[in-house]
Amino acid sequence: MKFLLLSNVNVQPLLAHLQPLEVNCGAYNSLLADLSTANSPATAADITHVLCLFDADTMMGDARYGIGTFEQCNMFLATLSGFCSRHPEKVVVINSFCLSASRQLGYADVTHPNSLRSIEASLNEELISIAKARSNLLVFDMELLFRRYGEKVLLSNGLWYAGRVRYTARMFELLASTIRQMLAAYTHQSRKVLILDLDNTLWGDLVGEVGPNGVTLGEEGAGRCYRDFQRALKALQKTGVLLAITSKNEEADVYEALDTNPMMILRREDFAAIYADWQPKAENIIKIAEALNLGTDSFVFIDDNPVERAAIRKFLPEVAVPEFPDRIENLQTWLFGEVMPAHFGKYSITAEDAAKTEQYRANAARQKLAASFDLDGYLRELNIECNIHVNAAGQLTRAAQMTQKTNQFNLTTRRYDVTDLERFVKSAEHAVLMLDYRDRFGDEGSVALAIVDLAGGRIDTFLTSCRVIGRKVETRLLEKAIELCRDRGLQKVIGEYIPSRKNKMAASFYENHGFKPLFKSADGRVTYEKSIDAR
Amino acid sequence: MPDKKLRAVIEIVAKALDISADELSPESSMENTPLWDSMGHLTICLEFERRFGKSLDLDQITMASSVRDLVALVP
Repeated sequence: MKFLLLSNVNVQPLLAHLQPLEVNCGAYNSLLADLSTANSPATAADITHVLCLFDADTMMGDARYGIGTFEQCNMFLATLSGFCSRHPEKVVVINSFCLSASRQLGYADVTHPNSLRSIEASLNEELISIAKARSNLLVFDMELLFRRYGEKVLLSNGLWYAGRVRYTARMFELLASTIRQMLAAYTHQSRKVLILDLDNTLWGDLVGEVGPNGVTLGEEGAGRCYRDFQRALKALQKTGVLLAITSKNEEADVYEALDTNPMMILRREDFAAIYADWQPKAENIIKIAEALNLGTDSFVFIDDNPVERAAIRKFLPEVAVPEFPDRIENLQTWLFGEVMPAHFGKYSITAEDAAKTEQYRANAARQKLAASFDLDGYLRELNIECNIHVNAAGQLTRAAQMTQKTNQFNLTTRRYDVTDLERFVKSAEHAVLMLDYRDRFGDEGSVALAIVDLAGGRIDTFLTSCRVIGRKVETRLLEKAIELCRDRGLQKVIGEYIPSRKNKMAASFYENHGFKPLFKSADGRVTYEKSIDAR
Repeated sequence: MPDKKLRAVIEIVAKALDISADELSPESSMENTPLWDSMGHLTICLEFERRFGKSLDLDQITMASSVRDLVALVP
């Protein structure tokens, strides 16, 4: 990865904050020129990311003072759009238009025809519509930083007039962490599970002492701090984060509070796993990981008790353990302002994300059913329906997510982002196959993915979500992949297994499906071949 | 010149210019320190701001061009 930082002001101080990323800074005020000129540094093949950090006041020029037009802003947007479409292989990160609070029209700015507020809004609308059309353009909302910290803290007038540096040291730090967090979100490196304590975390007081209906939770005062925190957690859950509980309490008290306390926002069914007992929390977290089939390195742990936090940091250092806020009135802003961006950032949210808890809960129900049937009988009981889509343009965000996040049943662990998949879908050489799954317990959405290199007669990527392992859907997807090769007139198809730290469970997949090993390299990579019978 | 303030300023300048603190003295300035150019100076001011939580005004940024000048601005 190699970054190029472009701007219309002096943003060189950002470089130090972005380390250890490899970032070069474009020439001063080269933003427009670099994006529009062929053979500019931004077009260089080794540049993977272009960071455009522009100052909207400066770009507006005299229009900022009500003189002339802001045509140059529209021109910039057109240039940006052109660059993104000419370079789909590069990720372009840009801030939204964010004018300073100075308004020459004063109160009239709200309704005046030359209102800066409305100009800013229309420019942002245009910028966002470009981002919707170009999946390699990532926009971050700079206004949120100004809302949270304020212009007096973030803009530096002294440095501006001394050397065209617009921002304070604090702002450079915030910009660097925003850019980092957004890129992590874009490549799906966010965590998946939030483990919560109960007493003095989800409600005030100890349920074991004051009873399930005696805890501090309500619409006023301290009770509302906890209730609003629960509202925020529920919103977080809707973005695809799984909630789970580990609490030192009697299980019966906990379930009674979850099921009957009228002030609870979060209920039993909102949690993917609940462990209320007297076991060490580290042990319960490991059990939750097993039940959900997810690694503890995707977990975040929230507990008001510093001793519990220290224990998790010690025994499970891969779990993220944020400090708990000093004051309960800050619980909600803390969750949204710090925990979410640092650990649960998402650049796009799919329908699967919103229904995730349901899916994991349904899986638990399926496991129960599995205990009472033989495998084939069980599969019949499930009434599985699969739908395989080939090159479905609308599902590529989910497809990219799957290549990034699937580790266990993933034959080659090749990671792709949306722009890569768009290229595959457009070329006749590749086919992207996605399998949608539903059964009597619910709709799982897209759960398996294959990318077939039709020109090379090779299955480039083959993966299945762990949620549906053991239900033979991978066999159906493989059959479809082979069928596409047959339709192409191919006589054989190549499959590969590339071992990783986590994908041992997929090692015998091709052999189990009639593929013959061709050769095995020193690093454990195996290449297989299967003849395709003509039809 | 109080030692503590001098040490802090030397650390700031060294970090901003990415050089060793040993290369700096109270007499180091834009005149005699090779990497202390106008961009280096802005970086020093930002680092000063970060360290002391105090932003410098335009006069201070333009006038303070040596370690000695910066020490005088330490709150």
